[in-house]
Amino acid sequence: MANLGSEIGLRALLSSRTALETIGHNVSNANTPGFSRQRIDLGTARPQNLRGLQLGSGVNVDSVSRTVDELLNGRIVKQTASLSKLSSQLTEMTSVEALLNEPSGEGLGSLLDQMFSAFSALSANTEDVVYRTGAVQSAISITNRLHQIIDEADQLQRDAQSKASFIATDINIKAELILKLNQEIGKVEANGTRANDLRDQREQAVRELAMLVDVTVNEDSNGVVRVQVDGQLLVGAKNVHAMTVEAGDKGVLNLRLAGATRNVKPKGGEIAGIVAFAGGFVNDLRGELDTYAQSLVLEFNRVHSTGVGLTGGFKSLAGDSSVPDLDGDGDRRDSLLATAGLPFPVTAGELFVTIVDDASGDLRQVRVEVNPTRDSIGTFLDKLDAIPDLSASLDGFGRVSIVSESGKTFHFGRPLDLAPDQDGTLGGGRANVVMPFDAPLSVTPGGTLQLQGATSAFTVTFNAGSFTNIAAATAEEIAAVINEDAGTIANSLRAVVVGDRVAIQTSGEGSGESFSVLGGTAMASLGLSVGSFTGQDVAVRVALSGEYTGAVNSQWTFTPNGDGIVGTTPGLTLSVRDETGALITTLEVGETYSSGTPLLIAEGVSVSFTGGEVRASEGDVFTTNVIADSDTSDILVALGLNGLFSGTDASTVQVLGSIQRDPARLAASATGAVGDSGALRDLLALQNEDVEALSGSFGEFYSTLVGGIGFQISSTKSAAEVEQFLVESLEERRQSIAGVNVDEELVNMIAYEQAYNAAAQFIQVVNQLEDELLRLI
Amino acid sequence: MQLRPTQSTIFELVRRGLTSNTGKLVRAQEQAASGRRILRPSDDAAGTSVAMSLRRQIGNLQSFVSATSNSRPQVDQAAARLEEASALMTEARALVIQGMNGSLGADDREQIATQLELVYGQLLDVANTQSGDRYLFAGTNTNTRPFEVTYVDGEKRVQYRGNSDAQRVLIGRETTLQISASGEDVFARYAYSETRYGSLSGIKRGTGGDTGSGYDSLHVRHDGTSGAMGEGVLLVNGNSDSMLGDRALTIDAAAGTIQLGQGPAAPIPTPYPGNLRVVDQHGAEAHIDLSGWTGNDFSTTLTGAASLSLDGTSYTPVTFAETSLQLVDDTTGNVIHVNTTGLVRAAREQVTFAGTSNVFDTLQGIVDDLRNEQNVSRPEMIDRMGSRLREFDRTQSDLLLGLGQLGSTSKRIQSSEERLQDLTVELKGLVSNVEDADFAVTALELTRAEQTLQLAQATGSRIMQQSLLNFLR
Repeated sequence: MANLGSEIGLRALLSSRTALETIGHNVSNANTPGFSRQRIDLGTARPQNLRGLQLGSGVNVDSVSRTVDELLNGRIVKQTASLSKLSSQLTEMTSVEALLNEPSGEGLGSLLDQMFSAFSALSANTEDVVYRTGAVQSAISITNRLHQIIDEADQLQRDAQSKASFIATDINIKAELILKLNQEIGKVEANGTRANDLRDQREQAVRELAMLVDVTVNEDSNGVVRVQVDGQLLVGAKNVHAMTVEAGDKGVLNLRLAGATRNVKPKGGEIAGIVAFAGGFVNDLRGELDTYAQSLVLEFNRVHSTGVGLTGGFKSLAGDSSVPDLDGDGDRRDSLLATAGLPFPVTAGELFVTIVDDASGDLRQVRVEVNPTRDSIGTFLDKLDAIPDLSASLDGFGRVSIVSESGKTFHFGRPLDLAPDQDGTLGGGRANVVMPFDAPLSVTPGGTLQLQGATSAFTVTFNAGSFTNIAAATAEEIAAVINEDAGTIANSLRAVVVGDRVAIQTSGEGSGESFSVLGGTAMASLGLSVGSFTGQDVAVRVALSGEYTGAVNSQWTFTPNGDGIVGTTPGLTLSVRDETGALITTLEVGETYSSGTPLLIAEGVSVSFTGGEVRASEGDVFTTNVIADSDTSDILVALGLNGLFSGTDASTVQVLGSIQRDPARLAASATGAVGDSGALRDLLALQNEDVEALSGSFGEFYSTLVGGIGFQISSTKSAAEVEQFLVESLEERRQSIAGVNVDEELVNMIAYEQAYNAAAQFIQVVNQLEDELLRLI
Repeated sequence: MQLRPTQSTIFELVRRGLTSNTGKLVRAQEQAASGRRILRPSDDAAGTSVAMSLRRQIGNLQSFVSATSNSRPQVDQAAARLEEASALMTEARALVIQGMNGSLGADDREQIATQLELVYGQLLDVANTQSGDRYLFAGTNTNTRPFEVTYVDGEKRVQYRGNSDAQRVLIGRETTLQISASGEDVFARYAYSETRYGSLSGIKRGTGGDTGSGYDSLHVRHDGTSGAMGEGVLLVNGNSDSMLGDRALTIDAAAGTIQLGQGPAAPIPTPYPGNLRVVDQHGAEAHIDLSGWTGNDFSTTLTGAASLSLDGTSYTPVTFAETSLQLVDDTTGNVIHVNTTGLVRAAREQVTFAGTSNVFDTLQGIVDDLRNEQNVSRPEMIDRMGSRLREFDRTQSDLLLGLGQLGSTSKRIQSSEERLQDLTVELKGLVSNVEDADFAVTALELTRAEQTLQLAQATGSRIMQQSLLNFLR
């Protein structure tokens, strides 16, 4: 009995002491991160059977355990990962916000407004070099700003890469720590003891790791945890698969674990925030700015390429970019326009080239049809090259180069040809007959046309070999056959093309000039009949005036309705038709018409005629082009001809070097007259026009972009706040379970202190009992 | 589950409270200091979009303002120059009226001509006004001197080298404003109405349509006189006859007079002259040799043959029956159709293509008329000047039209500038509404944040000090 008593007392003493020590441990770790309070599990000691009784043998410390909610810890790990992703993203995003410098009114948006303002000022002073320089500078500021933003975005992406590398290093250190703790815990727990503090440390390490990257943690029956990132093992039983960061294209960051075959894409943790920022957010911004810059180049060049600079047309013009040789066969000319890899798409349409005679100021407008799926670079250049006084080729760098003959300049503007009937096919001074049908004509193969000129009669033969397809002969081909005939040359006759018709006429003017159509087998197919034709002394002179305000390009054909003298013959009228043959208007040019008076046709264009005879019976006709857009195919933009900007994205967009050096080349005029500001007005219209690729105007696109960034940041911010709140409340719950309440510990301490004192007292009593007994002996 | 507060929870709560309240205070302070509610897009994404769109509208207006304000100096300069031109023309008109006074002598007329030449020079100077490098009255061909003096057929002519387009600027999305007056409209508007001939020769307008501009000369030439002669009366038939068509010649022996057509019956002097000039009612002359006259009455019909030329080199004979004879001047391209039925007299006739001559050519014509180098009669000269004066008045009204147009442009610029400024101010107000901080609200927020922070600090300091230790002695 005495033995039992001391035993019980001793156990009580030891238990209380252990409890007090645990309390001490708890109190001293009250502020240790990740520490879970520990408590001792007391149990009654094995009872002893004595004297037929089962007697209690005191208290026993069964174990020291942690108060911990593993599930809660798991949630904290998850939420911490989401939170740190959001907050790292947020930190980075705000630097982009600073970079755009909006809505202070000093960002790209106001630079764009300033550019339009400068263009507008120039439109009132097109000749002024100071205004021109100002306009060019304002365009340069935009490209500079774009470059600056892209440079800074680049820098942000590079910074993100190095940040990600640092984080990966941290991740690897944490992983190593977890591995080490795994091993220690394994050793400790192999003999059944719970490695409480080591587990706390491991949990803390996992939590810290989760801040860097979101992980899945699995604990096996041996107490060893395996840590996975995006389904791949980071910390295994034996080793760590270290994470590496590798920069891909466009700021994309690739994360890979050692030994793995695919990249990991963590959804949470700081590193996920950085990856999403660099490869997503900044990249999206760059993409948007690239679209913006691309549209800037496309839309501005569309207008500018068809404008004319202060110094008038070009003597030579080179593209600002090389035509690529996509198939790599060393021939850049053989690719179709649609698939040649040009920076901007070419659509089916037409290009008007205006050739100006420097001395006389006379214009010649040539329409070039562009079909990207049928024309190659080569055939397009051949079409330009075929225009008289113009030669077109690819230069040594593969750039398109167009050169005019001396004494001529060319441009792609849209002037009205003020003297449209240069050949005098409508009441001109020459003896003249026009074939009445529009080409293509089905000419009789081997057919003949017999003509009588001033000196001799001769026969022109239409051989199939002179035509691509004689059953659909073009006006140019028919004219060429006639012009190449020796008889035509000998008799000073010539054939000219009027719209889609062919006219045969004398070279000289006046009533002394004449020729006859005598016959021939091709006569009917050409729509000619036997007759003789005489020139006249008083030639009708046609003059156009005004500015075409129509929205689409058109070719107007003027034909008299009957024979008669302008201003004299009663009831004489002229019909004006568009290229579809639809009547636009009928002009009264008979006795009520005062010679030289402008008559309004349509869309701001007027025509005037001087007195003279017109003959419907001889097929009198002339055509003129009225141009709203001289390049509907965008071929000039695609080939980089006469643009304002060069480049294809935000980092390469520039104001063309030649314009920077010489602001006079800024195309303000649409007609070639230096005081005209048609091209500038079209550029200014872009301020409010919707641009297809931007689904809005330039300004709208940009403010949507800035607004979108603001919205992303503010929504990330509120998501982070929610997440923060969640993590905090989880942390509170964890604290409420595992945290140390000092007051509570103090209460326990007093309880165990008293228990200790009581146990000591008990031992003393047991001792006294023993002493009493011994004294009896 | 009952919450089991721990020390670190308490400390964390206090710390968090202090952080968030300090944050609010800082934010309120930032707004107060900058005066703006939106400092970065994320402060209010929707508000940012609105503010930027408003700013864009302001930018848009600014670009219109920049077009108008930059065009105003030249519009005003052009208007001022046209006013000057208008004054010059009024002065010229007074001089012309003075010059038409039939009683003036050659010296007086020369003096007026000299003065008019001065006006001519000044007007030309106005028409070629430059603003910087730009000619104000050249349409859009602003680098070309618009009015150039040239010589056509030896005559001084001013040609317009500009174009008829107008310089325009955008002052609204779809609205353009014309900021220049084309020199053609102001000084040289082409509005052909009819062809007028002087009244010397009796030539009339034919029925065909004419083509021409300014003035031209129609040469009506006398090609010879013929008639059945007798009683010793012969025709001298020198170059000095000017009678055209048929005219009766009557010698009244009793009265001793000779009469051509309805002209005055002139006494025949003795001895009978070998070359007597007789004049008919139109002032046309025939020269008669009376040296062999028998002294008997004699009457016959004389016929004067004529040919016409517009260019002075190629002459077309007339039958006096053409109602529309076409004449062409190859050098100028002028084409006229004349009625020859009324031709009575050879002359160099002035052809006026009414509505086509510019102010300079009209003035020059008047100067030439005053100097009378063609030596026409005084009434004829006044007739010519009258015709020119009509042209002159027409060009003056063109100029006033141009002036009115520029004046209204200037007014429109001014009013649109004012309107745009008003709009800008209004829009700026709207931007401020969206972007700027309301000071009352900000001040209130600042105070509230301050109070909350103080409260958090006070409660925090109290709660942190609570511990059982304070009572364990």
